Amino acid sequence: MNVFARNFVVVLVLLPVLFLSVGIDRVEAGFGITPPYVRNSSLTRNAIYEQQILLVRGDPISPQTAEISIDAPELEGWLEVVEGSSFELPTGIQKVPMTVRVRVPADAEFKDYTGAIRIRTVPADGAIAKGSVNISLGARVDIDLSVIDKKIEDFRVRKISVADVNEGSKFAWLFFPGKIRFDMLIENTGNVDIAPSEVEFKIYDKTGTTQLEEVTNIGKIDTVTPYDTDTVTAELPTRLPAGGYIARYRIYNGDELKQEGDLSLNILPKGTLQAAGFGFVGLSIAHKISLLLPIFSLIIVILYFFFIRQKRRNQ
Amino acid sequence: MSYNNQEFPRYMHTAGKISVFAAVIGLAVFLFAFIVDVGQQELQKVSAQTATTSLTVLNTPPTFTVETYEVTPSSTTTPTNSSDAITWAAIGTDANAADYYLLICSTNASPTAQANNPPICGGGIQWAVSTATVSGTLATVSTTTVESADNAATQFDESNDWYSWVCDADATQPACNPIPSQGLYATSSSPFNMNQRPVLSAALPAGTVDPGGVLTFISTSTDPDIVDAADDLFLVVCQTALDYNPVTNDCDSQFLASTTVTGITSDVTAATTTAAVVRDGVYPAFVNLIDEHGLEASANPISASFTINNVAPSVLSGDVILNGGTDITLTNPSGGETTGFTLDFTVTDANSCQNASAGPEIIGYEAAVFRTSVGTTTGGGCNPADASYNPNFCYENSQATTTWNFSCTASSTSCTGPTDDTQIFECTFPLWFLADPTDDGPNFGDSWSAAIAGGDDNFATSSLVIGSTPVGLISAPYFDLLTAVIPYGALAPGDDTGTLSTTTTIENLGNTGLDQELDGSAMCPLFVSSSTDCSLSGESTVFTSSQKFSSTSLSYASVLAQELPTTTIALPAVLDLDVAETVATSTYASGDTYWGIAVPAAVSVSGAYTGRNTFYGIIDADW
Repeated sequence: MNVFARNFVVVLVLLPVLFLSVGIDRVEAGFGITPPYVRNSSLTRNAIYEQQILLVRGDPISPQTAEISIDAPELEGWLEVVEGSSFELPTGIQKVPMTVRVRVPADAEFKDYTGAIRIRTVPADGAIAKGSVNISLGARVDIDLSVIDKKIEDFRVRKISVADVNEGSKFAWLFFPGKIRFDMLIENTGNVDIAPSEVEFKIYDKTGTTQLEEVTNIGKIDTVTPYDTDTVTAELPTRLPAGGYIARYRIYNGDELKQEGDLSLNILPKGTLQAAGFGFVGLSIAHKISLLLPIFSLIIVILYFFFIRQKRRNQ
Repeated sequence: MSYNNQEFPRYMHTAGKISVFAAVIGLAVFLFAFIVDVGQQELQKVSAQTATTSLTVLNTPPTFTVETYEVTPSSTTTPTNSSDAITWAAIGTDANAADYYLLICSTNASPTAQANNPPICGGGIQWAVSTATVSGTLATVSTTTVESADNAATQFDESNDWYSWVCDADATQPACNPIPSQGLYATSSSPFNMNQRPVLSAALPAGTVDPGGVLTFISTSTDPDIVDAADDLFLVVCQTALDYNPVTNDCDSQFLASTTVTGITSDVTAATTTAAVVRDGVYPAFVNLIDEHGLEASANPISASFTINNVAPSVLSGDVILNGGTDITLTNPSGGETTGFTLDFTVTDANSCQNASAGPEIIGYEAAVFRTSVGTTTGGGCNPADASYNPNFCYENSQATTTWNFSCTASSTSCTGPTDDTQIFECTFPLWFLADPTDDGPNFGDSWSAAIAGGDDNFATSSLVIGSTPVGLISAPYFDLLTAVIPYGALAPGDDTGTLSTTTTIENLGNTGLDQELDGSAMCPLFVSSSTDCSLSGESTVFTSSQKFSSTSLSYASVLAQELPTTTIALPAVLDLDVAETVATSTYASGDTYWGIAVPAAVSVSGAYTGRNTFYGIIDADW
């Protein structure tokens, strides 16, 4: 058979089977990622920022492999997927987290950076439908970063709560107020450590019409590191007796009111809770003075005594 | 004629004569008078010395050693309460050491002493007479005051004079001291005063009251006393009839209210602030009226049950926590609901968290989870009252659970008893895949909030209160392809499909608009996983550039048809499908991609060619 005849046979007899489909089933029951981005507009040099992204499959009946490719030339060396360039999406696991870590170099240029991370899923066992154009599903993570040379002090209050508190107690003439512990879930949306600058409580009776007390936090509130979300606690004194109250709280970042709202506040009879109250710092100024003045006086007398004795020895 | 000193001796002689003469004359006159007036009788007695003598010594009445006094002073300021006894005391001494009686009368008419019996008053009312008392010892006597209202025959007035005597009961000549005593000191002397009972005609609460409100008991009350001034009146309200103690004029227990102001002489009231947490219902109360001297009204106590209103529960913004404060992430890419989101809230009810039957007072709630800018106003917002459910931005629990399965559990440890007013609810709920994201797209910068209204067992509900800590909802570009392969069919070498006629359909199963990125691998009979499995010779490889696609059906040769880039070698090609965000849970938004292929003429190896194309779902830039 000459060449022409052979080709004719191939074309007419064999090639018709090329590209025949083998079915019209769905690829799988949905795929996607969330969130589909890595964003941060307040990165500083040397900052480390991590963003978790969920790879989600609708019906994880078979294992798949996620293949990662990074398309971000300007971010070469900054950007990594902690799980590596390929990792498995196991059977039965609908959500698989992937962590994108950004390490801003010390010499990074102050500007905006963009790029993309692409995720392609393929069968972990390499199974393919022969004679078909197999389909893989993928997703794109948009990278949108800004490196700036400016300090941003900002946060977002995600959740607040207040625990029950023992009423204050009296010792001799000193009144130690009850300690309100006001928990705040704070997301640091800036690029420096931050904490609420002040927390204010206006405490009302149960009807919410009569204000009984107004207090602000005593002591420092723990800070939250940049890009992190953590619970911090403000401690406020109260001299109110046991009972139920309404607390109208305000959370400040400097002069900016970040959040306000109402909360139920239960003050329990002293000793009800195994929780420490305020110590010396909770005392009123008058009580502090009444305590410190005698101590300082005694110290001065002792020092004077030693001074006189030393002077006599020298003579 | 003048006085001559030289004649002094003669003068003295003459004076002496005159004096002697005068003395003799005086003596004679005295003797004459004595004999005529007195001396004659005396002389006569002397002359009767033989007669028998007779003498009767009369009984002398007892006298006061200590004057009569009221043992408990009875005056206008400290009157004797009606039904109480007024007691007098005195010490009488009888010269004969006989026993004596202390007699108290209402007038000063001389009493009649009686032989061997107690004396009786000479007029008016005999308040009291003592038993025979040893002379020189204390005699006490008392009488119990009676109001005219209690006994029409009584003679007790508000102010009553009294006179007292001490009398003996001598068998022959009983006698009383002639001058009565009315006491020596103002507060314990006549008259004695009787305090009359105040009159309580009616008592009832002024109205129903909310927990923490002012409960006022009103009365129809008067005081009959008029001496000096009417008495101040007071109410004492106890929870049961037996709680009132007439000795302390207070409730031994379960005190409710009392009058705290003075100067009220009629229709007195008593008020109290009810506890901040009180169950709704009717509560017993018993009203007692007393005057300023602690004397109770005869009608005491009068039942005056009061009603604590049912009040609507309340919710505070800080007590509504949506999804634990974390952003909402939808994780169901199958076009369904993502379950397990949380909503924790506290409902406060001044009627307590526990009703009178020890069951839950706070039993209901209205809940809405919504995109914040939608709000909760009726007639446009997300409000259960409007049944405004929309899976894109408004979930509210007026819907059947088959529509929105909002499920709450009342914390078993939250409600600690009748004085506890809070109930914590822990809820879970699902959100559909198409819930609006707030980190991208048209609602960028918005957030999701929860709003709660509490309801009680009387179907009273609070206003809908929006939580103070909204959260974001993360974009989730989820999609699916209706086909698992691209069915190009059969082609001969050198032929193409003519048009981009083979379609793949992408369905939007997320909450964003969608576009596509596409790349692929070369096709060959030996394809395993990538283009590298294929020979670079053209005889058995159909390169990716032979596949073309478009969002519309073009001719294969059209310049608008895009060639498929090769995975790992080139960047994927973007296909601007503009698949809209799905807005209905039953109908997915979708977009078709039209495919065509050419089999190069150089291909000489027949058979089944295999390859792999990748569809990247990306957020539509125009969304």
